[in-house]
Amino acid sequence: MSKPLASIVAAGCSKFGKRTGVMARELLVEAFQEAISKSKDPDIRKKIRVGFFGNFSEMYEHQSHVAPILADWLGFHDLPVIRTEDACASGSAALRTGIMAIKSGLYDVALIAGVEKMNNRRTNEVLEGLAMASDIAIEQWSGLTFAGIFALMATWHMHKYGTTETQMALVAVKNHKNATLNPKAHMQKLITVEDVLKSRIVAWPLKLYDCSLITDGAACVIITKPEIAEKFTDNPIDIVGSGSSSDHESLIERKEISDIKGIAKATREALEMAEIKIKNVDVAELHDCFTIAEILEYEEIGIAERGYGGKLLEEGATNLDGWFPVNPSGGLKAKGHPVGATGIAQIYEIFLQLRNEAGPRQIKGAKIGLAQNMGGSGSTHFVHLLKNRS
Amino acid sequence: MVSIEEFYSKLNEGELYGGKCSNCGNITLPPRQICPKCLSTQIDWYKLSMTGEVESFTLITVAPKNFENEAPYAVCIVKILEDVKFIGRIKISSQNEIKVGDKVEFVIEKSISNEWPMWPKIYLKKLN
Ligand SMILES: [Zn+2]
Repeated sequence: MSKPLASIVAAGCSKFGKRTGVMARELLVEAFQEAISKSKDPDIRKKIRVGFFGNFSEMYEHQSHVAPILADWLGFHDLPVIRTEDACASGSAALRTGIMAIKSGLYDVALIAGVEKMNNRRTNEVLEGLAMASDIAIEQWSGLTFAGIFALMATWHMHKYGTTETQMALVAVKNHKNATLNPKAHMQKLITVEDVLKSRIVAWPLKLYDCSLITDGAACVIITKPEIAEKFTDNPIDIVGSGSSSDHESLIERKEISDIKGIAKATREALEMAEIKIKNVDVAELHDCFTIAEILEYEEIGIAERGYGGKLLEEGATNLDGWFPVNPSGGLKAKGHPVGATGIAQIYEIFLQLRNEAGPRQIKGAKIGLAQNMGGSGSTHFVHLLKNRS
Repeated sequence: MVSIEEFYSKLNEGELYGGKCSNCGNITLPPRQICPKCLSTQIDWYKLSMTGEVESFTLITVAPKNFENEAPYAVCIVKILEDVKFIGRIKISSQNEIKVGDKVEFVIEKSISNEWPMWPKIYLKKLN
């Protein structure tokens, strides 16, 4: 096992949902208070040297330049701060930047946060804002939504490999079930395959229940140099691998439109860095922005052969009690997808799982966890591997 | 020199041109100054057919704000040549009205906008 890149000593996450009457910065205060309350050092706040803030759109709160404002609301008035924006991967972009900051030796303690407050606008306006992450010169211009972009991948995958709408529905059923065990999840409702198939079309073949939620939320972690982590907690979680990549945003440039090659590349990089094999991963949070995405991700991270992702769901392989549990938190699908917060919320879930603090959704004895987060149509990618010290 | 604005102004006149790499022959839509395959900067305009085959499609019923008034519509990825694809939308109300492999023709609606982007709308018509 290689030396960790950095260690997570504290983590917090706001309640996810339609958070009427709360602004983004206030959601982050909620997450931050939880994080610092978990450290055994009551002065951990004063040890933070730098902050990286993942946030996607200026449109929702008519607010760009969020980094100093967020820091200010957390009580930092002279902290070096940077905002990262990589669409739905903005949070993981903050984490990877933070890891580089720690690994470079420039800082020893960093705050990594992600936040998005999306529910101030009508749905069509929110979709317009999200669509801005696709290529204006081709995708936006054609009237595509993100559901539409993933639907194009789904139609192709159904045509070429025989993936079915029922298999996609099984992703939603599983993740909704997991979310009922997560009090912070946006959705708290069990659904059936039939519910998904009967829900109204959003972008065929994707229906309402195939889509992640428009959610308000924030999450944060505090990371340190590995050798000082135990000053802040008796149970630090090490970041042992970090992989990243990019690809054409526009699907028409991809040889096969349902291949999201950047996931495979980022996963490989993270696994090699950590000297871990995918089969040794005990729990994973995958970017299920749409049900088809989770299926394609099984294939890209290497737990299913190309075209066979849907089969894993029929076998229950990725259920909480399966051989490769995916999205115990409920995922983007049911926990919710506050764009800039999503990558960090995935890390929060893995942090809980590896510390045996995930309550009724705990994967027994989980030692190694993987978080996969992507932006746009799968054009920015981050994969992180976490490990406990037991 | 190729450019996106020129690509769309040609399309406004009803003609679809890609950027063809004179080194490796790769064609991109819209054209770019650097070939994504071989990184050559020798890119020339190359006239493409206005017809192709549906490679994939989606029926959009919940549209972004700027397209709300048009919904529902299908967006199709259309294969014009091997490895040369483009996107257009077609006014239909059920996914059963179209399938992978259908032959389609691009139908261009000139831009009437006087602010950027003054790009045409790109529709599709089914051919039989
Ligand atoms: Zn070339």
